[in-house]
Amino acid sequence: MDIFAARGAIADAARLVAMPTGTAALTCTGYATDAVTTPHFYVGDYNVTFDKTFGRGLDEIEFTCAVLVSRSDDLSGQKLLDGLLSGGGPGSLKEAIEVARGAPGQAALGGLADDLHVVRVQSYRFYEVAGTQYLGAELVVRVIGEGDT
Amino acid sequence: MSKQILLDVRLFAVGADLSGASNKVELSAEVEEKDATNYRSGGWKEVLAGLASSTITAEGQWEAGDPGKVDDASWAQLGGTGPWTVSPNDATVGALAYFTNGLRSSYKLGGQVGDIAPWAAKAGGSWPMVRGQIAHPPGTARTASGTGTSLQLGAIPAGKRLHAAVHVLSVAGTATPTITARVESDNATGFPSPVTQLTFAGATAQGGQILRTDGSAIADDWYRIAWTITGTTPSFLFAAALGIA
Repeated sequence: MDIFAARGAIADAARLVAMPTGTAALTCTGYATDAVTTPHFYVGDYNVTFDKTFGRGLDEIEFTCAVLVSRSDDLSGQKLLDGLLSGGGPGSLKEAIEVARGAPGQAALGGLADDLHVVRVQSYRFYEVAGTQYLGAELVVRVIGEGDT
Repeated sequence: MSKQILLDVRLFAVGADLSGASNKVELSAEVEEKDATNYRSGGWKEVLAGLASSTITAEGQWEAGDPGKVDDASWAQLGGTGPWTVSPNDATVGALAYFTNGLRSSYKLGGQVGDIAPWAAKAGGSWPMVRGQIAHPPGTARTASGTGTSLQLGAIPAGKRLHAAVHVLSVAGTATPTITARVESDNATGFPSPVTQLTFAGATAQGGQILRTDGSAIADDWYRIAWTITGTTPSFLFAAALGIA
């Protein structure tokens, strides 16, 4: 599995989330950045488990993604973040990213992987990036795909 | 062969290469112990060998949508017999291979939410479990008639049989592409005067066949797989294993 391409594809999927009226579009990057533009979603670190089958048939990657919003207004920032982290609805990052699973039987992430699953939200707290504090949380995305490509 | 970590076990179930969709393969072979203890056994239990049996169990990640995928192949094979071949470390020519004529006796699929969809299967051997060698690698496409690498399996005494398994994994071409495999023997590695010992039925689709000789002695000690291919722009992927049991 091409990890860099998969990170980019997850960011592309997240970009399709519907933001509340009057809110800036969600900036999405497949990599962690020092130049945060709130609200910002990025695909950060990951863990890879090789050899889930014989013959390099399957690897599993658990990507830790983050979404950051401005903390200039406590209420609006938390409301926006809660919507993005919700399990359903047009503003749900889980729903937006899981659209990239494709139809049943189809490959995920445009053919880069076999399947994906937004597993959980964790670490809802303040984050500091390049000296600025943001409110944010992490989303864990599990992706499975061919090990030898 | 030294100790090894199982990373590239190859599993061929009739016409399906399940290697990339499996993460556990187990073989077992056993002989029943029949109690023959008597007054002259010297105070020790005495046993005789009864019936021998073998099983192959495997599990992994479920896939479907092609005759070579585990779900399609398992439903097609359930209740039927065909060759099952397991090679502990890849399937290059000469690699150790265990194979039998297996009855596909069980297939299980499904799991709990969040699982990578699993499968599990079992085949019971209806012929002896043969410890042999891979005679043709699964990844080498054949487009014309030819012969494989010679293997020195040894001469076969009376009462033992030469076993051969062929797994046709993919078929391409037009005008009914057909591969007809056979097993040849000779007394020298160059095969100056090959003798055909076994001939498989012509195969036009994915599938597997297993054959064995009649138990007569064979003085030749070198063996190889050979094949005749017909059709228009034919191309076949197949794996083969040979052994004596």
